[in-house]
Amino acid sequence: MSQRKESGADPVKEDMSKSRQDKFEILIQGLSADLYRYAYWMCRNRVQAEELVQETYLRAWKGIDSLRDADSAKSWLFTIFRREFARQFERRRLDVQEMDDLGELPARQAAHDTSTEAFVLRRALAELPEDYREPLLQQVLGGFSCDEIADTLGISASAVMTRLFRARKQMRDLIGDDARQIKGVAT
Amino acid sequence: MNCLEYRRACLTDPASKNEAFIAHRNECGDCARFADEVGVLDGKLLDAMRVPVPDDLQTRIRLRQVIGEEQSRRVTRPWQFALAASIFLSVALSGFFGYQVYSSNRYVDQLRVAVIEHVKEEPQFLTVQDDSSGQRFGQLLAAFGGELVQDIAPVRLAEVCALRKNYKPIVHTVVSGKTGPVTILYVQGEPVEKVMPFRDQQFSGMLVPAGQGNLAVIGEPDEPLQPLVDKLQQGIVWKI
Repeated sequence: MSQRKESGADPVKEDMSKSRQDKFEILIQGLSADLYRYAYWMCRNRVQAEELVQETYLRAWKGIDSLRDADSAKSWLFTIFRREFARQFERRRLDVQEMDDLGELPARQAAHDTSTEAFVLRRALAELPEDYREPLLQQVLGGFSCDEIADTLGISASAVMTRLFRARKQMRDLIGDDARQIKGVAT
Repeated sequence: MNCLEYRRACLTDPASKNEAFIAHRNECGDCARFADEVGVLDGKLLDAMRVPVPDDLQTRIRLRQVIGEEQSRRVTRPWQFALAASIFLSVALSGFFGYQVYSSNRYVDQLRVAVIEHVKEEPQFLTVQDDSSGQRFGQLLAAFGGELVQDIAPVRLAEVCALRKNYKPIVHTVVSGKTGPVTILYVQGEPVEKVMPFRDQQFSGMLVPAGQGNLAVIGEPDEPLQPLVDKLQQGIVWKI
């Protein structure tokens, strides 16, 4: 099952009437890990992901007075990220294929899932077209609803549902292909 | 909802709370198994998506915030300075100075407590010996507007940390002193008026105004700190 976070237990949804620095600190502590992972899967490069997250937070800090509703904090931050990603992508013409450091991931941290299955899943996720990968990331990793994803992406909820359906269908197909290949090599 | 519709909906949103969706799952064993498979896949997918997050990501975000604010201040227009100055003068004329003295003393007291607490919270830093720290110390100071022009002392550690007082980033450095490790923290904020000594049962220290903040030099009670303070004042040039 998709692991959505319960809104009542979300520290980000604490009182947003605090000082600017306190609000910003809540955003950092509550959302920076999710945002980094989202950024990583968008550009598939650790350095670029960190740079994007830092820049996103700087922009969030400058505009934090406009954040009044705690419930919308996450989608607000992710929307800022998407704008920053689009801006930097346009400016630098990032070639994510050249920068892809997906293969380095397992070696970096012992606690990280290094199983063959995890490798196959990551590879399949990386191979998904961006239009499908992004809503899937927002739903599975970010815990967003279809309506929230639609708002963030600026498309209709029905378009989001179509993309999510195709994303999961392609993931199942890709995983099936990879699993068959691995089986073929092993035998 | 029939089986085809259910499976399509399941691949769209496996956690859907739609009543018809839930009802079909409860009625159809095949579709329930299908939903379980999709759920398992989503769980594995979430694990695969959870790539390691850099340990110092939050600290770097705070550092970027400080540097970004600093850059914003530098591009402030002259008329904005004039406006700010006139507002300040008006406030000053209405007798604000008395409060300033009170709050300044309170600020210094809070800062003394905060820096000592920070050293006590990071005891492992006192035993680290990282040979690349000298260069890193210079780089971190540069990020906060300081240029290292002379060697201060053998640097054993240089990191960016956050002070619990306000969660703002600070430069946390440990150097070798005469009797043991000496911690040097650079904390941005209102510089103190002059060098101010302080001590508690475990440490003695000095607050030194530096750039747009203060250096807190903290060592064991019998550590001679003044020579190190002199070197810090001579060896770092601050861009104000």
